[in-house]
Amino acid sequence: MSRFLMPPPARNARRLALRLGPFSTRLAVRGLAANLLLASYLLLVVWLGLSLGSRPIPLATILAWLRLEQVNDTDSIILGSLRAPRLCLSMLSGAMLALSGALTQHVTRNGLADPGLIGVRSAAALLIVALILAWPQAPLALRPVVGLAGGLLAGLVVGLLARGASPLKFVMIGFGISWCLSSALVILLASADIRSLQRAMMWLAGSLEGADWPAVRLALVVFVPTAIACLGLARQAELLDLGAATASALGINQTRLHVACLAIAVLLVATSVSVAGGLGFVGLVAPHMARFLPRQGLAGRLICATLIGALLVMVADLAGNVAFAPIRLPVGISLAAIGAPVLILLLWLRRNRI
Amino acid sequence: MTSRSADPPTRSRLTAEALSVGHGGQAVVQDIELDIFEGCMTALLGPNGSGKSTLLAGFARLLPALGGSVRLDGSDLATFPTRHVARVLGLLPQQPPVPEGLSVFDLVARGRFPHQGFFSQWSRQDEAAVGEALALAALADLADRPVETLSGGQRQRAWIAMVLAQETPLLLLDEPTTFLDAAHQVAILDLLRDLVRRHRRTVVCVLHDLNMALQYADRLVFLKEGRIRHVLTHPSQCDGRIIEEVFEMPVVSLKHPQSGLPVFLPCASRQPEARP
Repeated sequence: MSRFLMPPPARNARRLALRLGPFSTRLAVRGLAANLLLASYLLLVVWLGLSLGSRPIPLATILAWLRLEQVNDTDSIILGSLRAPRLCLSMLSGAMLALSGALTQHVTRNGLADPGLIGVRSAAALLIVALILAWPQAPLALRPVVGLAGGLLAGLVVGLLARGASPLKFVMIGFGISWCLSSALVILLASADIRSLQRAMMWLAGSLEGADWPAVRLALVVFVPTAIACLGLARQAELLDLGAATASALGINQTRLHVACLAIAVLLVATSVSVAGGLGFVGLVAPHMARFLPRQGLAGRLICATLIGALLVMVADLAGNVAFAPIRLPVGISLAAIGAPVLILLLWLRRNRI
Repeated sequence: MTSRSADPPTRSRLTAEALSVGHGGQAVVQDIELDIFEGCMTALLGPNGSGKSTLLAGFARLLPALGGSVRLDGSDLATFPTRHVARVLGLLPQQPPVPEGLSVFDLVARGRFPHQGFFSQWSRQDEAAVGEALALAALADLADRPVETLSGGQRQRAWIAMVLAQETPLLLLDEPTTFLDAAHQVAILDLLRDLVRRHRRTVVCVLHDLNMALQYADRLVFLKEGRIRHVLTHPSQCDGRIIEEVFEMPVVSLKHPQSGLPVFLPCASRQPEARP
């Protein structure tokens, strides 16, 4: 039996070899530390999200509630049916958007690629708005189903049209489809009556008002298996950095890899749009923010971007709830208000490197 | 300069049988019949556009055979699982990209992919193979340097080390010495010859520098307009007639004073002017 922890080889001190029986891996120490730091921030924001609001709840009560102990009814209802599902949903939707953005940007070799930009988000939004307008009494649970169908359909159409095309062409075709769908959405909104229009606009702005446990469950059911699949695919996908010829020579089936990665990305975005509305930016910005942290393997970078995305949406929702209380801003709006300056700041800081 | 191995080539590892390869259904090389013998360094030579790189891509299974077949140890290359091919055939493409922010060690470690799995991601064999590849390419001191900070010659050695870490018995290299100065070309070719002589690897490389190829290769394959024109089993068989036919330029031939192998120089285009 091998020793559990190998001492790092002197020449390559920034990586740590980890071996246990047939299992072995190599970890980028600094990248791992960065990810753990982000995860601890996440816990901090979870605490803030559960305790802040029109009725502040002390940490002791939250911990007691988490241990399923008896707490007073008001706190229990506020935590169990308002704050906790909302927090979970903001975390999951941010994580899904960021993971999908990071994966798409890597696979298409394009720092601007984001499934939201290639028509997936527009298609999901179009179908959900159509549902809201055509059948205002429709149960909320129907929205994710419809959104998912629309998103996957758009992803399929773009995939088929761009089959075998270069990454750039793929993104361009996606842009085209996306614009078509957006104009269809505007036509739909322009012809709607004023009351359902308001509901549709609220949803479009990205809102977590309707957050409940069924939505969280749906998001979890999609997120957990796809995230695991991403970590499996990451080992292959990182070889794409070495060029198509080398990746093939190392035994990668690139067509299959591209299809798998993009299908996962589309699924994640469509799910996120269905449960949380049109949240812009996260998929685009989170992977770029991850580049400021120490270099690590693709799996580590994906985890890093996912954590950043979750943090972004949680912080934006929290800020939207607290900043102008008792008025609550839809998370899409506070996200844009926070995300846009952050993006510009990052680009400015990196101005010499692009 | 060299003492070439006296024993005859043992067996053919890669064989092209009536092979045609090309892009988009259009054949670039046609009717190729060629054996790549084990423990030999085979050089593919020819003018620009003669199909050397395309033939190499066909051997590496990057391009499918449009006609005929490539046989690996007697079986059709197209029928092997991808992973098996990746453990037998290593490839250094022409002008590989410079991956951003990747250290030399990490680049070389990626050559281990065909030997790794979801659970076994960094075994002792992986570590040993990467260490050996770095040592062979004389890169041990540069292992932590980002690839983009290396000079052209070092970068090329880092890529070769990546292919070496793959531990394939066969190595296919597309112009490994182009854009390098003479000293760096010699360093790379010495390394390749060392692999063939001491480690029994089989090397196929596309080379541009005819004279370098003549000093280092065991077998020379001349291509022109997508077809094989000459296969020489020893560089001493090369003469001016072959060079003039393949490269369409008049040459003078000399003998290398040390190796005794032929060297070719282009004829002076004008008669030197008589000095007053």
